[in-house]
Amino acid sequence: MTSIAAGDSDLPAATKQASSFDVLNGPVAQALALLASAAAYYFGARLGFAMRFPSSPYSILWPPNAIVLAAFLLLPTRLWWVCLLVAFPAHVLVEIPAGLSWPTTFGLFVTNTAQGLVAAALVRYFSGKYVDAGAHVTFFVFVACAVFAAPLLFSFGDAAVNLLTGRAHDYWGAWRLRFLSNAASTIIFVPPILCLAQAVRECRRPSLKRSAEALVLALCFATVGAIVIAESPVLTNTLPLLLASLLPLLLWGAIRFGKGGASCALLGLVLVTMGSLAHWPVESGGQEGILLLQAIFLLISIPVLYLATVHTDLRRSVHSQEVVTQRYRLATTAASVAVWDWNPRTGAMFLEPTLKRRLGYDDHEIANHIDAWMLHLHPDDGPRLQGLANACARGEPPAFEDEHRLLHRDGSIRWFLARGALVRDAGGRPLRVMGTCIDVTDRHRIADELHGLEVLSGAVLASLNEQVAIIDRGGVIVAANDAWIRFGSENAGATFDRAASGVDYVGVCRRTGAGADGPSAAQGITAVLGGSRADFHKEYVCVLPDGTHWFEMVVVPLRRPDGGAVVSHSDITRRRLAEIESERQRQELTHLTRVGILGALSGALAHELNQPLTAILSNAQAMQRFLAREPLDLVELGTALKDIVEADKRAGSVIQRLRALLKRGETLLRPLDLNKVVNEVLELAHSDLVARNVTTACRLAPDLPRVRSDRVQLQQVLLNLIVNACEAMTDTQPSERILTIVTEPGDRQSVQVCVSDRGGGIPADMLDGLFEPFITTKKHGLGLGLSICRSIVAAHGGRLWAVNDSGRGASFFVALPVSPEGTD
Amino acid sequence: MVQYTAAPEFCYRPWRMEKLPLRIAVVDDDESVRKALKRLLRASNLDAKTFESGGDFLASLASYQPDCVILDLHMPGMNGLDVQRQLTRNGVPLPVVIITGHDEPQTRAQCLAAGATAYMCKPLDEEVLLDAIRRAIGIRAHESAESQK
Repeated sequence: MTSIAAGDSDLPAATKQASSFDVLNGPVAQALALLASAAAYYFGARLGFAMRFPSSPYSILWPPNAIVLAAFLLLPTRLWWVCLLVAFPAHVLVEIPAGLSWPTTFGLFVTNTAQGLVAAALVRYFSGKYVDAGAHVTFFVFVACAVFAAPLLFSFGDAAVNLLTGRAHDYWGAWRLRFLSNAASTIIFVPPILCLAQAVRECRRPSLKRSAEALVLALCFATVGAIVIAESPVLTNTLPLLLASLLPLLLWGAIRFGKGGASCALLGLVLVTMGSLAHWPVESGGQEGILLLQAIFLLISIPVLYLATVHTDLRRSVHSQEVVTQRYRLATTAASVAVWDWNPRTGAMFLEPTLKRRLGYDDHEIANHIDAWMLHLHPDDGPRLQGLANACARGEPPAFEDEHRLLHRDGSIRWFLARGALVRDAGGRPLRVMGTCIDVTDRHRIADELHGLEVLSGAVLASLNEQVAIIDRGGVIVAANDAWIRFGSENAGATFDRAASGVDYVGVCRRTGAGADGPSAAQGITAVLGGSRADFHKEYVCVLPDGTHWFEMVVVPLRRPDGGAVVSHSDITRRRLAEIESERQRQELTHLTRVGILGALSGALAHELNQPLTAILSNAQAMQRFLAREPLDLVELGTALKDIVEADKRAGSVIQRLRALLKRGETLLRPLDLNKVVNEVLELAHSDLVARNVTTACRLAPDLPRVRSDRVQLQQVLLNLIVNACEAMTDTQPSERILTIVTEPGDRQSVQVCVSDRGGGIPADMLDGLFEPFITTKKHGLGLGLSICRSIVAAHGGRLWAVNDSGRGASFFVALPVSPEGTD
Repeated sequence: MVQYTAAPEFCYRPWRMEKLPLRIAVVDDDESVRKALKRLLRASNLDAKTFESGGDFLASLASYQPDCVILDLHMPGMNGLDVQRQLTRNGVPLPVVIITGHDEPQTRAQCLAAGATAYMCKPLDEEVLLDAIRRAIGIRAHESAESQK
């Protein structure tokens, strides 16, 4: 029998109970059970003897067989032989003193225990087979095998034995007696034992209420029993009343306490009945009555126990149903899933109140009808949904899914996702459509927002003038804006071709870049993608059909977990042209100021030319005189000619230097010796210095590192400074007019030249803006000289600054970086 | 063939009545100019001695008395004007011819006012130079003659 421990209020959670056989698994429990069974066998046998029919080997009830069967059911199969071993002495102890012979005893033992074995085996087998079918099926198996089949079979043998040994005289009478006796015993004694074993194993403490109830039931039984026994009526008269009075108690026990209660109640009934029987005189007519009694026991026990089983099953199923319902509620609440159930024929639709509440309505405000629900649907979605539902109801297809809008009470729109499936009846005909409805408003809102963002960013990209493309971590183009695509299609193959999506842009750059631009661009992009560079800029020239354009490529990393970068090409032609123009004008201005300086030095330069010219003229005229003389002094003539040539060359070099300075040339950076440049400049300015009575003091450091600069522009700067210095000293005493030029290595890989004068110094208010354009102390000056000087020095990577000397006068410093080629 | 007018190679010093070549001093900071002028003056039978600076010249006066001095105006240290003024201060009755690479009107006026006999611009034509020397000597001779009376 499956779980009989239904006496307690909390049922086991499992809907299926594993076979409760082998309940006693621990060796201690098993040992105890064996001992108990031996003892029970003995006392059961004694009881049976006490209830024996006169002149019959049979009793009304024979407990030992039931006890043995119970033991077999509770113990594992391998211990059955131990059980037999233990039961045999008990059997012997009872039978032999009663006067039975050893063979008879042995024979009876065999038949009885065989009956138990067979019954137990059959019950186990069939219960195992039908274990899923429910407790009541197991009960039927028990009744069929153990209560009826086994006793029926073995009674044949047993009756035959007794007939042969002469203990019984009527075969069928004996058979009937034995069969009913064993059947009744089985049904009365086995269930309580099994229930007890189950209860002991599960050790559940019953609540106070249940204990009280059980006690009350027991007291009722006791009361009735006492009344019955005390009255000592004639059996046949009071039997109906007896049963009638106990029936409610039996039902009470069965329903409230399950199988355990039912079996105990039945046991109680039996006890009461036996107790009342004790008062009868036993006659042959009594025997018939006793047979009737046994039959009645059987007939009452089976339905009552069945009722108990069914009731237990029912309660368990209700409990599991409650659990299922709980889970369902939890699931739908947690997932905000509402369930609906629509009957297409009537239109009635069960709608969960949560669903109605989501629209702002109470349960009663929306009728449970499909039309009532459809009222709240958005006019655009209603017809579609209705169509889908109707199609589903027909089974074409038998399931549907649809997202639609519903109108909230406050007028706002909510999105719902409904899923439905067709449920067919037993005949395959469409019965109802059931499904779920989920509020997906949030998801829609987020999707809408995302879409809006996408549209916005797409619009932004599209409206940009620059050609922008997004490349992924591997350098492959994933997206490009309109400008990019347009340019790419119009000018295929241009420098850094604007390739289409899906193309590896790094490779494209490497291939389509001009000269070294390609690899450097590819390297730059890779560096940005890899994170080793913060950004990459490249200006390049692109020849298009409508002319030469300048572009600037900018690559910046894309701030997202997947990485990638944004590549943009901007047309900077206008800016570049402006820059070129600006540079050209600057060069022009530089030239003009240089010419201006030379203009200032023109007197001195003229003087410089004059000296060699004088020498030439005088030498030539002297030679003419010498030629007129006799004798010809050829030596003198020779030296005179030599002097003429020298003088001419000197003049030539002045012209050359002048020409160089006057040339409007491009900047030519070369490694220069600053000392040489200083000397050249001093030669140029020599006459002017002399004319102004300025004394030059030079301290030129030997082994000065070379600087990388344009000779002409450097000369311009130094000339400017020297001319300025001279002009600053016009008001100084001639003896004080000292121009100091010092060259020395500067700090941080630079070379420094300092031009100092002994003039009046720089006025304090002019110091800040000294190198600004149009700042001058001269009466007729533009004020551009120093600003041009500063831009020249800056273009060389150097610095130009002025300091007022603490003595008097000012010093102008020019620091230039050392040429990378190293020192001379 | 160019006709050379007679150069005053000789002068008659009234007090000595000797025929001696004239001694001309040339003071110029530029070596090529010095050499060329010296050659030209020698070609004209004049005794020329060149000095690099005014200081050198003045120092040499103790031992060498020229009859005329050709002074370059623009020289470092003492320029021609300074030398001239020094001569006047020292009371040396030396005729001075100023030569210069620049032609500035105020300097010309200054020099002539300081007592220069001539102010000439480079390059120097021999005739102009010799003529200037002649006049300078002539004036001096006249002056000395006057002083003798």
